[in-house]
Amino acid sequence: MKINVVLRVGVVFFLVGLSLGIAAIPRSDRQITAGMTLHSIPPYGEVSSSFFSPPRDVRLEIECSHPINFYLFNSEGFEAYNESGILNPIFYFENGSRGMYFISLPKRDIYYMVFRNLLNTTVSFNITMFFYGFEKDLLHMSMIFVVSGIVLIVLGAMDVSRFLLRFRKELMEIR
Amino acid sequence: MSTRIVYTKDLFKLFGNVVALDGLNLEVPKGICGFIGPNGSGKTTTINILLGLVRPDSGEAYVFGLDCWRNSYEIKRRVGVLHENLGYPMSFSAQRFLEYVARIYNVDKPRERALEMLKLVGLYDVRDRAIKGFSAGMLQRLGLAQALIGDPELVILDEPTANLDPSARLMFLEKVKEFHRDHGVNFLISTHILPELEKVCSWVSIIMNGVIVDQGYLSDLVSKYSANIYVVETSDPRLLAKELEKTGFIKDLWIEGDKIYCKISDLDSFQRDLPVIASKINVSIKNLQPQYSSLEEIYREVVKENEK
Amino acid sequence: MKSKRNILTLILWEFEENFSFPVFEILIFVAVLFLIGFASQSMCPYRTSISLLDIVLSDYLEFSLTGCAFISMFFTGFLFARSIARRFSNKEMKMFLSYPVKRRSLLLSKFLVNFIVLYLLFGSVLVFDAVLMGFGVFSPLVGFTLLSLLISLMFLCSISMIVALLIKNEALSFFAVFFLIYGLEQYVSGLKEPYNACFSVSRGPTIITAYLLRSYYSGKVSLFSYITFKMFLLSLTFQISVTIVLMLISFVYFVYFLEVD
Repeated sequence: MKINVVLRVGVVFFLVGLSLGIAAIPRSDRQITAGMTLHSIPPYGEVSSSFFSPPRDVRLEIECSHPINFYLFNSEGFEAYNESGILNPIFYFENGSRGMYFISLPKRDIYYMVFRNLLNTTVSFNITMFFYGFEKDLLHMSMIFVVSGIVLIVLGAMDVSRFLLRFRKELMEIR
Repeated sequence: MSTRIVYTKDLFKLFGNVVALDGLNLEVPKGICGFIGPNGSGKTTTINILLGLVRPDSGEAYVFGLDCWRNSYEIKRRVGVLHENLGYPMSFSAQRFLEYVARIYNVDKPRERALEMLKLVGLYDVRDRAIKGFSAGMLQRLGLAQALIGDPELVILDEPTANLDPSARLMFLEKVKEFHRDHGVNFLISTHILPELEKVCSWVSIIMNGVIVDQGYLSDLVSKYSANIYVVETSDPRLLAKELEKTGFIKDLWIEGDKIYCKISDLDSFQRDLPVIASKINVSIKNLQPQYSSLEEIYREVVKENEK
Repeated sequence: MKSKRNILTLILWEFEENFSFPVFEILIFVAVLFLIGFASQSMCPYRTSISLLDIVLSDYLEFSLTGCAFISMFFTGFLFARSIARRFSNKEMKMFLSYPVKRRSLLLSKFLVNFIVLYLLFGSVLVFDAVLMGFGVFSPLVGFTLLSLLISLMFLCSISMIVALLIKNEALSFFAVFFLIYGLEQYVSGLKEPYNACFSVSRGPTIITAYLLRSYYSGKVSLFSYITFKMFLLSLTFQISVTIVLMLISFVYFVYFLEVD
């Protein structure tokens, strides 16, 4: 089978997609644990922290000395909250002091955690995050490349240019 | 010689302890020229020097009057070459390869020229086949095509028929003759397969141990080396040969059928004494004529003389 | 004009031959798999008292850029062994040198093709990696990374080229490049600070990029404070000067002294 340009481009696309898909495996294998050791919130105060994450699953484990409100914003939501106080988190709980929460982060973004103390006493808390699962956008990208690669390989193998040329000749003859 | 296109003077080249060329004085005029010598005599080294691939330790080498090392770029624009066991880009098709070579030679329409050359050497039908699938004969023809594609004035062929069967060799050399006749291309053919070369070349340079031992137009060399051999057709060759061996003017002789081949050192004595000897032993001489040597015989003669 | 056309012809020829199917495809596969899958870390999201920018940048530099330097050692060794050393052993170089091409154009075409393909390949993967870490395509990280990639890749290519030219055997040349650079790394690691980092093939590019980033983000990034201007200058000068010297030697040898028998 003659290797033409379309076929080669198709193979490149396919292999890029395949390598992205395979690359997602060791990346998902890392269960990253992030601990934020004992932190404190002043009375009626707020503490925030940020992290960058791909679209993965995360398990939050929170332990507080007193009940707090917790909000998780994406970058857009946090900007809106900062500017005008609009509360539009992707996850939240209110009046909680301890728990384990499973969140599926939707996209590759910087996320902001806001801890709000509603009491007249200093609250100390501990938060641990476990990141696991495949990076969904990487898998989607991988699939797009693989599928388009396969289409190009099939087209290349069929040698479409010769087919089109013959079709054009026949069309001209008919005219 | 005003028509010489290759000229070397006292060319010397050493590879480690090996003397490849030991004062080579080569002259090559226009036409189809043979460059013959035993293996390891310095033919390929000479060709490499002419192409600017190897720098001589001393001496001069010129092609078209241009210095081979300093002006190698200008020389190569006018020269095509087929090296022995040339390496080709095996993944390329024949057409693709020739197109690239044509572009390097700044040919105006490289694609058309490549197809034309493929037709000329009989490889048009396999133009899209990868070179790695070519037989030895096909590779040689492809090599000839790439040597000729740039419209060169001189084509150097280093052992062009080494891997070919006899019929392929003849076909190859016919192509060479054709190109010379129809396009005026000059050839320098380095080979040790002499019978076919004799049919095409007009000039021969003989190299041995890095030195030109003789060179000249083939007709002149034939006259020079044939003068010594006479064929005597006789009724009793063995008896006559025995008597002739005792004389001082026979260098060598051998018998084939009823003929004695005599290599003589003194033609006058031979012509004077032969009838006397024959009549003494009652042997009749049916025929006496000089033997015109083939190129192979000339070569053997020269090699033998120089080995002494 | 004719010589420019000749270089272009040689470049296209070199690209088509050296990156014939499936070499180019395998290189892409390995580069993406290694650099995206293994070299770059899905980051540790945050650590206390360190800014997010610090974390992201240090992860990128520590893993992606260093991983790139490591894998490019193999790629340059392989490609130049194939492009130059192999052509000597299979007599293709003799064929090239018998054509009317200037020797410097021939060597330049081989260097350019391999360098440009590798630069585009690694550059794309590193840019993609930076995007995966939340940086834009036109961010300073990407710009500085591409700059240090340019320098380090030229450095590695010049080493690979001269080794291939001198050894003229494909397999030996590949292994020689590997052992030479590995040996250099081992030797350099025994030097005292900061020379052990500045003269390192894998850490040199990181130092260059890190210093430029620190200068750009002045004050916002604290993790690279140990990288001084002296270290930056040492790394940069070492790589550029070695590149220039090796390239000069290669070209002079190839143009004026190389004999092909």
